[in-house]
Amino acid sequence: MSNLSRENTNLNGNQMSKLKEFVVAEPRPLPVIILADVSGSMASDGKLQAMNQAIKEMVLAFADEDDLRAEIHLAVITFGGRSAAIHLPLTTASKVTWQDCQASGGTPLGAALGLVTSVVEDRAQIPARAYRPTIVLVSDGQPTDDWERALETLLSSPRCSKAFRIALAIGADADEQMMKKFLANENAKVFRADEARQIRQFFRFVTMSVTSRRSSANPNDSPQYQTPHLEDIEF
Amino acid sequence: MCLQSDERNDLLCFGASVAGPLHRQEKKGRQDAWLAASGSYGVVLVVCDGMGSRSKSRFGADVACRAVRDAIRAHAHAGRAYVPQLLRLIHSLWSVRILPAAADDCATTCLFAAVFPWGQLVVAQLGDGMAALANPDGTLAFVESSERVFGNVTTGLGIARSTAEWAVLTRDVFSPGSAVMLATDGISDDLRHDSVMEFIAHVIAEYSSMPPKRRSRALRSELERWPTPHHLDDKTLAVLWNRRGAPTCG
Repeated sequence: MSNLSRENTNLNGNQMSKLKEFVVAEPRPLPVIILADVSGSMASDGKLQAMNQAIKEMVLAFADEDDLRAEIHLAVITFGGRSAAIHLPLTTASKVTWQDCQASGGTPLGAALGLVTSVVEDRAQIPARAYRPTIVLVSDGQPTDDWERALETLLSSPRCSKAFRIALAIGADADEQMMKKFLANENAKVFRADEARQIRQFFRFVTMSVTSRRSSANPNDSPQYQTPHLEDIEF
Repeated sequence: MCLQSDERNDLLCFGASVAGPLHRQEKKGRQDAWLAASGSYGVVLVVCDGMGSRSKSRFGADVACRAVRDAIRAHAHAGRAYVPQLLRLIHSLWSVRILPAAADDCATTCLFAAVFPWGQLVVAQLGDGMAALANPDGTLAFVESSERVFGNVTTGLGIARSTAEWAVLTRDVFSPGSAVMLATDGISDDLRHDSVMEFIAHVIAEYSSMPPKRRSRALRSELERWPTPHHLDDKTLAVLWNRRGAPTCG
């Protein structure tokens, strides 16, 4: 009995919980998954550079938050060339070392939607105790594969369909109609960026939205905002 | 809530409920409620988690606890448990008793375990949390499968439109050495799935032999020192244990 008492007392003399061995030691995850268009066209006009910089800043902002009601886990799925790839697997934001994305080829959005669906539905990657994920789609072009079937699967899957979804259309060639279908919410609007600097403003908005969720009473509540014009966002 | 216990028929009920750090920080009371009761109708244990975003969620949780007890009491002459009717009665009592408040403002999860005078065990769950039956052979049965989508996305009284949304487990006999644990999601979301049996065994070993008042204080104190980092939610834990034939599970 005396040994047990000693084991359950820390150096300050405070009694520690005996329940430690039965509970998980990590805070609840709040997943954020970015679907990043890395098609060849993103390399022009500084778009890719701006996106890389913006994600890097977002990682720093997430890692810097110390009022943790949830732990932000970030993943980046890129789609370019002929396929999609997990550029950054779901990782605690404070442990992310950001590597810039490279651009080339087409816009295989369907592959990215398939990949994000498999990640979100995988309970080993996102446990049931996690808060609802945020999926961010960023693209500057028209999809070059069968994206509609993949989107249908995403929107009908039990977990992906409940994720918060945000979309940014970059430039005049972006397929805004496709993005509206991705949002699948008549009240949600697609953000538009006509200049590279607006990409960074968009990611600052995403950062703000996620961190405000993390500090809200229930991080699963919908973020309360009207879709602003990116020029109207002050930081 | 005062601890209640019933030693008749070797059935012991105990539990505790504490406000989570978020409600303590916001100087709000907890929105969980629990109740243990016994009588000629048998033994009933109820745990409810008033939904955080609703204005009268604690009221809804308190009403739900009493609605379950009274439904069990009314059902005790049936000779066997007719679960759909029992659940409908719980919904009806709750819906009437929250008036004039709106059902949506009072929404609450509802988990209960009842042992009827004829020995039958019914464990039921509507919404988040965990209801589990620990058998004396060391096996564990969860009332609801782990099909839950994400944390804090739930159903409950005031939300469910059908008794089909309940998950129910029944046994003809609540065997000696068996235990039922009911817990709100403040606990169940942080429990390691592979440790539930050991957790139940720990709670019984640690607290069952204490005098009721001391047990209540000790369990509350333990829940207030919940070890998961940055946890927020209220925590309510209740156990129904058939201590005949102890030592028990685990």
